[in-house]
Amino acid sequence: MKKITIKGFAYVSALAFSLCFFAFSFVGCSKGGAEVDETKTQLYIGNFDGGVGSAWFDEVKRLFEIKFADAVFEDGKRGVQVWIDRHKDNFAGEVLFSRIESARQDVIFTNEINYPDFATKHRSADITDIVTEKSEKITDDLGNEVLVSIEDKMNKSLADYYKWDDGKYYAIPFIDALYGIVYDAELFEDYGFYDDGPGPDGIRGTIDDGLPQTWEDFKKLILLMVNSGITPFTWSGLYQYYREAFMNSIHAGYEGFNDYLLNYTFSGTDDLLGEITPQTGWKLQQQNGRLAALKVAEFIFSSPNNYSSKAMGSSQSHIAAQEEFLISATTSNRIAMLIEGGWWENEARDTFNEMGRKNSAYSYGNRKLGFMPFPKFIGGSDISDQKQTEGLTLFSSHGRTVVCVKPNTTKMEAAKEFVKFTTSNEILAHLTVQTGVTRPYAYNLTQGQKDKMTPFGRMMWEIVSHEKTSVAYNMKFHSGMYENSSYFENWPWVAKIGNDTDADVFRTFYNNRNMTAQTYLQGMQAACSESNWILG
Amino acid sequence: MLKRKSKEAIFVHLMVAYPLLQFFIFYIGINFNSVLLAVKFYNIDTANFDFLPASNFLFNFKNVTHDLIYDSVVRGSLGISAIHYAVSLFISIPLSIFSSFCIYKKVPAAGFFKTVLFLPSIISGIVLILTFKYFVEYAVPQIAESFFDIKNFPMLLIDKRYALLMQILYGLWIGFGGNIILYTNAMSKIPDSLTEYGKIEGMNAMQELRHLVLPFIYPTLTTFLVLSVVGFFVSQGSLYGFYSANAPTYTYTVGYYFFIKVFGSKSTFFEHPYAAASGLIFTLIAAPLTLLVKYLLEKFGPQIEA
Repeated sequence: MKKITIKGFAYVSALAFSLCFFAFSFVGCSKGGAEVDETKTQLYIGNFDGGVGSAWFDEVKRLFEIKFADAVFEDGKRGVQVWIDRHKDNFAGEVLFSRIESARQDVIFTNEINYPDFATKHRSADITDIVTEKSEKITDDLGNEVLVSIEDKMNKSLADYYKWDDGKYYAIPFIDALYGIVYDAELFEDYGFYDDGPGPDGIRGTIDDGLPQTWEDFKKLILLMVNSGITPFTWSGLYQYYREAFMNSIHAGYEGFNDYLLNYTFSGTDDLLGEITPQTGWKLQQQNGRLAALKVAEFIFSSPNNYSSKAMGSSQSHIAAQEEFLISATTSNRIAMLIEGGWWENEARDTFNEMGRKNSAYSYGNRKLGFMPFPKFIGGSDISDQKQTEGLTLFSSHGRTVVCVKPNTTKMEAAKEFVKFTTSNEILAHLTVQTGVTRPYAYNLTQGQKDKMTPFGRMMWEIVSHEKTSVAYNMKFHSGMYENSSYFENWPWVAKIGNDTDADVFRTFYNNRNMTAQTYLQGMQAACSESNWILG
Repeated sequence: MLKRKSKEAIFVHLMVAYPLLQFFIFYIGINFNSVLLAVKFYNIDTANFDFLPASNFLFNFKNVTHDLIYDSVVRGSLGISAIHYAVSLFISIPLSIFSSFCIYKKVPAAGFFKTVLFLPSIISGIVLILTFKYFVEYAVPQIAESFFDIKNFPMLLIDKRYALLMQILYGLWIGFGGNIILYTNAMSKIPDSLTEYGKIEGMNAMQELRHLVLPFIYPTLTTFLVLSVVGFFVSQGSLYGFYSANAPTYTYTVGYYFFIKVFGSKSTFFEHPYAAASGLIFTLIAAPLTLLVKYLLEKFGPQIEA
């Protein structure tokens, strides 16, 4: 009797466990209460649910379903029903590479991927037809109506990158991630921190007028902030790439588009260093733009009063840094500037909403916040003047986020239409208005659309879309950067100083109060010299 | 109709089949694949792992060996792993044994200490890390400023002077509980007759610990010592939980250095063969060392006579 009871218990337990397993599986498949319309083609969209979020897809889904309400994508079905799947790890990097062919999503908006892997193995569909098809009607600068393709609108350097060796496109870029300084415009107004200069772009009448035009001006402003009892900076201490991207943005702004891009192509001519080839790429460690960025780090860390005491903390995530910056407006210890990326405002909605509950002046869209391109290095005594005095070169780190189509989807036509739709002017504008994030395509916003944007988003748009603004992407244009990924992972800022090797500039300056920009630069040149350069 | 014994046999085989299949796939298969991966390279033109040419078959092994000898970050990580190992051997294990002995001797509030010391073992690791991080980076600076007027208190988890110490302290704190449960369990098996005999012979507590308890729990201790050798190259402490893939290089352990080559934001397929080769090299070092340590501990350790 006892044996039967034990065995019976084992059988019942196994059965109950199995039933639970299947029950949870079905729960996991729930479509959140919406009904599946079997008369329509079911189109699944995967979205990397990061800083840009997924809320902008709601309107896209609605408009797409309306536009294609009578389209026949599958036999016996009319119209399309769109489902948005939100996730992070599933839609990025090697995880996506492994699972895309078995994923249920037909179109995926990804985080950073290794595009060569996808293109070589055809892990994303060939979408050349829709990328090169001139199907969108726009009005050009002369007032003529012309037909353009996605390729025509795409940032040229990215178009060169995404057009694979076989002449085909297997993905298109998703978003820009422009790094720089977010500043509290209200604080600037309250304390009179604006000047009467033309701003970093050197052009009067643009939206950055009044911001410090040169690095010398900026240093004076930072000292003025400290003397006024304001903490100039905060940033994320946990994630190194924010600080690295900030350094890259200064480097790019100094060097200008062409010279900066040499750091990823190793092919061209540097204004000062001469011809650069893959064999002589190590010379790029001598670019003055690197020294300029190091001078900034040296200055920031010259006094602990220049930055928040929490900034270098490993518990200071990007969200914590955003919170610290925003909430400081209600405290006696105000923080003027946050080192962040262009999507930060959308990402910080929860903080805005929380603050807005107590005071609507602090809610999303009501705070006057701005984007400050880094000032120019002109008229300083410790570094040569940069060549570009007008216009801006901005740095974007997200050129490797893409939109791609599952290669074996059974709804290829619908999937491609969705990609085309989300790259139309209407939807490009919608994403920017909704989130403040730009995409690397040429598109326009109407004044009405700009009026709907937050002050930060509007300023970001005006700066990015200006005719004298270039955006440089840190794409691995040279294949050697992929093959030697460990070497090039840190190469922009890796330095060998004494017995230590580190690529985190901020951390090195934080730990070594006597560190100078020159010493660090020498360390960089020791870490990447002709003798240990890896591209032969 | 099947006989009862046949039915039982089928039941047992079915219950074991799934875990056995998992073992074959996720242990045998993966390790076999890792061995093959160590002699491959990631071909950017085909996006495949291809075998290295015969003339350069040991490319990955050479790179790993070179880095172990000449790369300052890898060398540093070996040193830090050694520090963690020494702390475990000379501080953590003795402290655990002593604490377990106190609990075994039922000192006042022994039950309370046992519970509190074991709590870190049952609370989620991420919760513990967050608690520690927030305490160290928020509470401690606040206390320093409020009570001792120390401004600009260093960020202990990032500051080069203190970051490694913080990792060691954290490791000691969370490692305690699991050890204590195992040691007290081993101590509880000591026959009462032996402890009575010790009392009769006039042993004090320290003599009892040395002559009676240690020999008795020696097999348990041997297990810990042998496992710590195994874990030398593998253990990454809690670095990934603290820093993700962005730990300061001056806190790197060997395990962490190679872990982030294959997992996290800095990993790429190109690093997988390199990491596979490193695994084999460490196995070649750790396996005989582990067997040697086990042999020496068993040969020269105290024996319990019947």
